[in-house]
Amino acid sequence: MIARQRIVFERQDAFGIQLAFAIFFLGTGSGLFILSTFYGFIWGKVADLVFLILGFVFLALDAGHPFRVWRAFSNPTTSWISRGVIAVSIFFVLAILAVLQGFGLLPWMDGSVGGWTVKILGLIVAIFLLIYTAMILASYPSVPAWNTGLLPVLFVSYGLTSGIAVLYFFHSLNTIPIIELAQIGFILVAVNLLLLLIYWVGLSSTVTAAKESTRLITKGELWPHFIIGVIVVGLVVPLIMVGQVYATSKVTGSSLILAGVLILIGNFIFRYVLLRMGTYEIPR
Amino acid sequence: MAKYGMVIDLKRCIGCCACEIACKMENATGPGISWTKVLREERGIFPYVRFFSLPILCNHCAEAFCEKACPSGATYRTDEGLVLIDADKCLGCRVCITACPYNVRYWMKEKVSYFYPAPLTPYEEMGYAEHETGVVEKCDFCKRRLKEGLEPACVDICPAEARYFGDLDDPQSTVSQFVKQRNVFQLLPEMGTDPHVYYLAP
Repeated sequence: MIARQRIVFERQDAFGIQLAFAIFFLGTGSGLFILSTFYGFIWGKVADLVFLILGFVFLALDAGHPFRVWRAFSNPTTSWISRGVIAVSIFFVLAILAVLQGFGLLPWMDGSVGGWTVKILGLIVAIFLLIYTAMILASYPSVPAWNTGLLPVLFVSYGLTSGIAVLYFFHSLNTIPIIELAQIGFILVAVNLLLLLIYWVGLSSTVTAAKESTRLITKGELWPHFIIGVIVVGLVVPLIMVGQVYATSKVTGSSLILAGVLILIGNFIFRYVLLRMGTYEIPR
Repeated sequence: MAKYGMVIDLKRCIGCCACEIACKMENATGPGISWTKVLREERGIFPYVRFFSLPILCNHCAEAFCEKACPSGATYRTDEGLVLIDADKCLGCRVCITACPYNVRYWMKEKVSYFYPAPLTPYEEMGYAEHETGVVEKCDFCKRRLKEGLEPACVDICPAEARYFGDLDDPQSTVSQFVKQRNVFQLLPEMGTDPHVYYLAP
């Protein structure tokens, strides 16, 4: 017989703002790489390298012993951190190759077998990176709010959304028509918002610590971050801004840039809120 | 080879926290870090109330999530079933802390005095010498005492004799007798971690 156990909730305090920055930069870098590869936009790939480096630096700084990060390569069979560190390293090489290829500094061209290999491998690893950052959180049931299959999907969506947001900054360098950028952004942000709402509803309909996490983001100390920062600033306002393209058939570069800034701010706050709302069920 | 485990009798536990203090004295853990702690609460409605205590510690799970989550192999399992941390390999990523469903792992961020902001006392400096900062720590079933043939400090100190420690593979040991014959349960069995710490129902 199992004795009666009551459950109380305890907030996780292991992961904080530095990891939020790390997964934000890695997610944005991966999303940016995917979109830049699709559009053949070389400056996006250059920016992607910067995001990757920032992500890795924050990941290392978040560790208690940054100079031991090389040890994280040791356990890829079961550890998502280990898989991720390996993937980041491979992706870094592929991203450099993609940039060199884009500038014509490699012996092979974009359309050749070598070029396609770099592109396809880069895309696979970029998608893996988007998923891996979610899997660090989602793979164990200890924090029920994270332990959901929707989290990797949400992270892929957030990565692509922030990728398009960065592309907005380069719209003047880009060959993609500004209207097309706005239309794609609208779709990505709308899908992102929908996924987030599904995730939110899913959390609130559980009976575990996930419900406590929901309370934190709707009524508790994190509600301004989530409702205002993540939903309003990060998704709804940019959605309206880029959505004007459907109403007026035109959109200005400055409104795209502003929408991009808001998307990135919302994206970062989402990562931060997600970490901060993590709650354990402690048996009693 | 022994497979160590612990049985905690919740009917005997009086919630005195002697185990927590003994653990602190034995392992010189810092402020806010208790490798074993006693969760306490009142249950029931007046006049039918009682005080309930639940000592928790690392469960040295057979299917330890922390071991699987650790990227560097710093968390490992011994042949005796102990889940230990090699501080020299730990990079302090803290993913094991979030993977552990019992929340009994601690990050030794820095060596802080109990008399903060005063510097470490000589006694604290001596105790903290064996701790490394920037790594994760947890209960190791007092492996140092086990080597000397002693029981873990929390078991040794318990005035109510609520804690039992021994070899779960030895059919004659007290712990395996309890596990076989008494009404034992494990914490959060639905997690599938198969803890080596069992509880006797209150």
